[in-house]
Amino acid sequence: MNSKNRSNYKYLNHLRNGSIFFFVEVDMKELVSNHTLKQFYQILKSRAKHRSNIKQEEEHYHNFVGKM
Amino acid sequence: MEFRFSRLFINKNEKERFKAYKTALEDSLKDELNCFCDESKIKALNHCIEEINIIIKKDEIDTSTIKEADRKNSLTIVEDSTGNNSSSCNSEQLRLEQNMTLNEEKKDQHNVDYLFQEAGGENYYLHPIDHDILLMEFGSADHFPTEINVRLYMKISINFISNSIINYYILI
Repeated sequence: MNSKNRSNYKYLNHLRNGSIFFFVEVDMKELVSNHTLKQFYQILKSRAKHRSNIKQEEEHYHNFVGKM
Repeated sequence: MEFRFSRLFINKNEKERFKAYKTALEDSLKDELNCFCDESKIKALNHCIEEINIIIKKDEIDTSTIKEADRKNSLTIVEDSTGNNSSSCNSEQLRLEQNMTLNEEKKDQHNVDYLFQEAGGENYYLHPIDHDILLMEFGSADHFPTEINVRLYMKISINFISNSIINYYILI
């Protein structure tokens, strides 16, 4: 947390400067109805794609390190 | 991997928040004086308490001046509308005071931010988009469930210096 972050995440204003925090992406299918999920369909889809890309990159890296 | 999140609320009102900080600091000062007696720590704690006292006093002065100005305005409006009739003036005054207190209560209700933090107390917070989805589902933050059990997809940390997202930890 720093002064720049504070303006972006106002609800985390209670954290002191220098503290480390994580945002967590979760599976909302069990909590939320299909109707609301449809409204966020594009965002959720892009997030899923992003996750798969990162996973692929990690696999490539592990393979590269394994060969060395 | 399943996680439990609990709903928390944070008071936006700075004055109340600083009062809470002050009580926490005073408690730690008591502990320090009773058990450990580290002089540098005691000095630092005293300095912090003094600074917080100054901030609280400033806030109190500001709020009192604003309240006085509001009351003066309301009284002048009542005098203009009622003229010399004293009984109606009193009733109007009472109504205005009641309205003011109701408005203050409403302000207090809106002075709260809701957020979901990991139930164990770790600094894991729900992603802002997930928060928006919950808002859409439940209408307002007041109707959020107190606890949620969810499966984690990914953990994201934010760069301390450049403000950009750096680390992703896939947890599936």
